[in-house]
Amino acid sequence: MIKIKNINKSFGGLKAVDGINLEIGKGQITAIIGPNGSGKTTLFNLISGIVEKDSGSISLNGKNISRQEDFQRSESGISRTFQHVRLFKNLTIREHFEVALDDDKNLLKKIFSKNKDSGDEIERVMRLIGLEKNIETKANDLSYGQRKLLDIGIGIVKKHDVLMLDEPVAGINPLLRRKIKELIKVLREQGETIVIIEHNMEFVMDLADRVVCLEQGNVIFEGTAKEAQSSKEVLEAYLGK
Amino acid sequence: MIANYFIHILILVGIYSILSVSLNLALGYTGLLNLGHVAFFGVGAYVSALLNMVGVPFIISFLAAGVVAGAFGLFLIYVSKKLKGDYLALATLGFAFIVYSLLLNLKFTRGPLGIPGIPKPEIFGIVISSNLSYLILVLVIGVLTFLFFNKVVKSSFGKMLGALRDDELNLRVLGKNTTKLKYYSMGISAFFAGIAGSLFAHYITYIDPSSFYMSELILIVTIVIIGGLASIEGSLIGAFIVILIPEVLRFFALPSSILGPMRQIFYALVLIGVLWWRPKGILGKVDLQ
Repeated sequence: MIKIKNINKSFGGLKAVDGINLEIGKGQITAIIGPNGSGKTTLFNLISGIVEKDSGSISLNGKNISRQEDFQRSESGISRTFQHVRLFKNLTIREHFEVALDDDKNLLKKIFSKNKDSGDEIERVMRLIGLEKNIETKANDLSYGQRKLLDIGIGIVKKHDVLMLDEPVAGINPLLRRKIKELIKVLREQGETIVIIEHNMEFVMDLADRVVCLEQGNVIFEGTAKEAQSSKEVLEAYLGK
Repeated sequence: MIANYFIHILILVGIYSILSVSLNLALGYTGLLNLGHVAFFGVGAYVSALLNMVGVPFIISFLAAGVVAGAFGLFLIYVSKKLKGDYLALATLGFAFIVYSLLLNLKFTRGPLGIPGIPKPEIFGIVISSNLSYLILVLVIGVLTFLFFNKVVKSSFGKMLGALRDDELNLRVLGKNTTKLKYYSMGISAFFAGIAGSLFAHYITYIDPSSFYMSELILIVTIVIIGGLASIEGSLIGAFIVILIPEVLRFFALPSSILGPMRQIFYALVLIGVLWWRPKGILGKVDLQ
């Protein structure tokens, strides 16, 4: 599905991602873990095209997407969320879903064409993510937890092959954390390919098919969740030598 | 006499409504902090006047005013597409100064002398010479403009513009080409500023660069802010308030050297008053940032 070959990225003198090679398999949940500053979010930004690589290549379904702009990578099938939720604050929940569902590239045609009725699809996703709110509510009027759910919901409805979730449960209460965990399990059952960045080891352990641990921009561990729990490298990365 | 005076005021309200509604598309709906709108207004006025004076029919001159202004809008986005917020505002303001300087120094625009004797519009052999017929022309074009913008902002294209205003990066990761959206928004916005310029030139029958400078820019931005960002109806109300209220000053026998600055003070007071009362403007849907 996603193949990352020897990817590098430096910010000034700091090497944020240092020659990472990684393959993300179809239908799997891959968790990317590591301490603060290990390069997890930079790797996400490199895959989604928000940050430009220094060298290396990224391919999706066999197609090299390294030279594509961020919006083109999204069109190619990458869907992502952000650690700090990014929503369109003056748009309603319904409008968020409509924007995400709209994959017609002819922008001017939209002025004169009738708005598509996406009611059923919006209702389905609202049920799936468990967002119990009037769809005419503006994003600005949602609580932090509801904003997180909406953010994930948008990522789900947008046409994609890979769903990348950047710390989906950061800063939310235990109840909502469980809810999001169940949601990710449901998505896996539906055959989704998911990549999760998560600090919380416990959250990913019974969720991930595969765990990748980064430290200082390098992959220091790759294996199953069970192997990660007993890995000396992973423990050292988190707790120090 | 009084009726003619009111018709004159309504014509100006109509022209400034078209101008401010078009600015609101870029500023309020798309979030492009464009301070170069007055340049599109000026370009439209000059293109229409100059073409019509060399014998090009009014309808073609009128449309050419929109097309050339639209092209200027596309060019402005092309050179400033990587800028945002305050930087974009400065770049677009600089663009307005450049256009002003060109109008002031080019030979064919006659520099500070301006262009006198611009003919009244002639449509299918009918000369729109009276103020009442001109008001009807402005009303027809104004209503069509209003209907078009209403369609734009309520369409899925309009929702995309709102999303672009709120978070460009998030819209890009949803697979939308935001640069293209900016081109379209600015192109449409500048096109309508151009046709407003054409209506202005053929109504006043004399234009010079000072008609398209800072005071005009302040006037247009004031209309949009008073009416409210991301509200077409707000821009219409804003145009009424900003054009009508200073007319009260005419009833005081003030010399013109005082009347001009008084108008500017009036705009500022109305702006402060409205924002004090309603921080989003009268019908604004988004915050001023």
